[in-house]
Amino acid sequence: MNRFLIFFAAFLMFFGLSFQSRVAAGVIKIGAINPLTGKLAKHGIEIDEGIQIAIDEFNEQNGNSGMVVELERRDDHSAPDVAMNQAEQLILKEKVVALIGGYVDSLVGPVSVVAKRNRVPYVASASLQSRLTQGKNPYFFRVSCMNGVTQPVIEFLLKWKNLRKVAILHASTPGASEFARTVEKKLKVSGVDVVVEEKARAGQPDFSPFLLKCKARGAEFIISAVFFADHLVLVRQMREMEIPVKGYIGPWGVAYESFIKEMKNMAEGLYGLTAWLPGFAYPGTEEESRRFVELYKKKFGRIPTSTSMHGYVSARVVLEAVRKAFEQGGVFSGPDLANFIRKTKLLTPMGSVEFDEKGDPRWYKQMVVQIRRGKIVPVHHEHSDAEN
Amino acid sequence: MEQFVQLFIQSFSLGSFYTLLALGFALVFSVTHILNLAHGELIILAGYVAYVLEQKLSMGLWETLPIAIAISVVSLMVVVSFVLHQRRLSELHSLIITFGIALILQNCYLGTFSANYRIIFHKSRYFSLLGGHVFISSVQLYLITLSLGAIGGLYILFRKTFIGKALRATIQDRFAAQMAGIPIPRMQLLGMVLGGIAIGIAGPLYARVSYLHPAAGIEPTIEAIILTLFAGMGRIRILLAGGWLLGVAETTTAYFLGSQWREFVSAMVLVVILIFREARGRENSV
Amino acid sequence: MKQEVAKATLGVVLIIGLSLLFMWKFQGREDVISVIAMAFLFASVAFAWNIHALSGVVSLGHAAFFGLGAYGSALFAYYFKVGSWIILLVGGTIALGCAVVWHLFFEQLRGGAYTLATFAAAEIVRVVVDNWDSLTMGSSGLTNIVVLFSGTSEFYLVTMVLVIIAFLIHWAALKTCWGLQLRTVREDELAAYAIGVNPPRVRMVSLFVSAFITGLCGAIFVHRVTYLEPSMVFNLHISAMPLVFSFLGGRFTTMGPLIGAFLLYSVDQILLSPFLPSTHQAVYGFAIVITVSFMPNGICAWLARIPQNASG
Repeated sequence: MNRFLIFFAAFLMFFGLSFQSRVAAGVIKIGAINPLTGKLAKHGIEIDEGIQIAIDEFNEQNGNSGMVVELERRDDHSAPDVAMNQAEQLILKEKVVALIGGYVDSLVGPVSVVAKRNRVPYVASASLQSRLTQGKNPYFFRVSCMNGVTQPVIEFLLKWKNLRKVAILHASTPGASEFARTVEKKLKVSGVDVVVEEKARAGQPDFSPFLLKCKARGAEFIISAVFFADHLVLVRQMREMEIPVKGYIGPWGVAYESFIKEMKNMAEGLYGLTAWLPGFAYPGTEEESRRFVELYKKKFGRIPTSTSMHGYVSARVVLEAVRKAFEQGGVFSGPDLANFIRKTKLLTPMGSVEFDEKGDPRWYKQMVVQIRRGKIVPVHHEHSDAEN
Repeated sequence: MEQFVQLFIQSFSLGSFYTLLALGFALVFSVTHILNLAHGELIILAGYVAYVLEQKLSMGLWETLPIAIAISVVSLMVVVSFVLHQRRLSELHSLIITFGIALILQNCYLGTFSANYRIIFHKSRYFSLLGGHVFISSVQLYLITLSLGAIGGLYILFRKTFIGKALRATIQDRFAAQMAGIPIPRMQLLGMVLGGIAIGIAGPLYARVSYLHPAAGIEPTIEAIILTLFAGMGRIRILLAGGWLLGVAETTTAYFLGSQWREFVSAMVLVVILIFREARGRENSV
Repeated sequence: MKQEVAKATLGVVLIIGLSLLFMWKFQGREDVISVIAMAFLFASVAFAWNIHALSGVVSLGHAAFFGLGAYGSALFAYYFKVGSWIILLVGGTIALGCAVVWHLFFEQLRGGAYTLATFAAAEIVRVVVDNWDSLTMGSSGLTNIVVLFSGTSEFYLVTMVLVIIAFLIHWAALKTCWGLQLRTVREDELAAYAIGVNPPRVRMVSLFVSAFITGLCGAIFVHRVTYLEPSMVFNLHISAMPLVFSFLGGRFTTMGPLIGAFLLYSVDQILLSPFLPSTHQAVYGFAIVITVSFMPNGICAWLARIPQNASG
């Protein structure tokens, strides 16, 4: 029985330890939850790094006003229960005043529930599904939304002359499914035929049957709402099998430097969507954008992506609210912060950020880009139309 | 018509790909009774090795293969001998330990190679068949010939050579083999070397057909477990048959019903065959 | 037997005592409470899995039960606008229905073939749920699912009761007459027939009990997470987790799966993740390797000094 008693004693001692972490006076903590390991790690890490830059920048700018913000980072293992646990831990143990981050809806949704339960605002960095914001949750905000992705795609496709037949492939995630359904409906209304519409599990090794079907049914354009890794396989097969399509658009996963680096000339001519590019910021924010790229390069040794920018912007929104709360007496209650966030009016390199009553961004809109000679070039976007 | 021929080529190259992924796992399992869940991670490692060589020294597939094979053999030996030296060893024990090893490896890859997705970029050559309407790429040819070659080579080894027969005896009944004077540890070593070679071949091809990512090892592991359990101990040829069957089932399903039904049909095919085989085995034994 | 009953009672008292102690100790720290509650939930799945595994077959498809429990309960609540605890039973019953089908088709399979068949079966269920848009919403998933537990402490108490029930059934599967039957079935089926045990029936009962509890766990899980999509519940992780937990805790000990789940799940979440946000995975892997190396029969067997070469 000895071993048992020792184990038991160790166990009690271990849980007898106080888990309360000390919060230094004058330090405001913010929590970030992202997938840092596992399948979604690439984009999770990008968001996480974008957030870190925003915090560093904020502390540098406000260092002498006595306001220091500290970031607590957590990994959600790409599992919803873990995301919930970590969110709760951040709120109750680390006493964070707000939560940021999150990639894909199945991880953002559960965290938003925790935020509501504990009355702490949560600004999600990358979440699309429309139904997520219909739960009347006054503590949930996000800097991206479905409309901002579907609209540019539809506008872009309808501008294309004589487009008759398109094929749609989407990943079996809520966001991708909703995207595919919305685009399909709009295209059909406008007289474009959707000749192939299918769903694929993320991480599939072979897309050739889909491509052969596209060829057989004469699809002129492939809309492919799958993830980064799937694009790698799909585009390679498309090029190898010489599928005669006029264009290929991937709403996420294509407009990345790392994609071009891996695919080399096979990426040539593909269309993608992005909310921001290192050299192409929203008018009036060029300076901020340049600074962001510089800081990011210095800290992580590579060029930030649009996903990092989403992380950065979501952190900016929270930091702005924190600053306001600090100016008004330094009380960081959840409801107050949520109120400040709701009234956010922020100009960021991704566009101006304001929230509607559901917590969705009002002006979020991505732009269509094309890969030309190894560079990502905007081809369809809001402010270019205005200028022309 | 051309469509269907093309579809068949795709099916068989996919099936061959699955077989190559499963071969190392099946060999190790047959000879040592270890279910190596870190199998996929080792394939990914071989892929990363080939990737780095290709990037830094711009080596082609054939030049990277020996190095990838050497590294795979060594790393597989390290993993398997570690598991073999456990005090108590059942198939389930090996499963859990290698699961732990797989987690460690994944985290190491994340630190070393970052979370970026990588592929080995390659220019395939094309061979047109049937008057230029059907194509087969060089990678597809590699997949099919390598899987056929590997299976054929193993068949000859198992049937025609003395050492192969000893290995087969070890697979069929370890204790009887031992009594017949076959040195089991040496046979296990041979199994590891063969398995390592298979992994070393699969890795660089995996990086060309699919993609590399620290967490990508799970897919080849699952594929390998499915095929190995399907084929059973030491039945190497069934491995290829099973791979092709899955390849054909998945590809034709995806073509006629849509990609969303692909796993449904392949899982159904597996279940039905398992049940029928069991029923037939029962009849034969009565 | 009497001694075993006393031990089981002690076990239940220990679980309740410690749970209440934690609850008192971590007042205002609902995060710890909710991690422990999740550990209890997964411990129940591990118990359930092991009850089935004690009949001598290894399932890699328990995600099917877990997911069907979750979907059954969430959809029932959605379509019939029910918000009471009865819907949890609906989840369990649907998982049970799936188990009946399994039993009909897989009864003859053993060993690797059974494992593979269960894995494939879980995959079949996933694809069907994923594509049956009109009933399950398919890949769009379900959002804003009814919250059944008003607070974390309520959730905690529910999972505590659940884990006690699972513990008692698991205890019965090891120590009672049924346990002996299971043991003969897993060790020698022919011998079992010879002494008048009906292996198919024993195996069937263990599968049904296991499926029902797993379904119940899935239902409870989904009403806590309040979000559901097919890949969230129908994945290999959910199927393999109970295997790992039971194995590390000790497959042939009454407390094993609980200890395994508790240590692995909550230590990883409470201690490792905060300090090592990006390397905790490797530490977790090391913990598994070391535990299996030094305690091949599981932590519990090691604690109770059960000889390490006995197979229980």
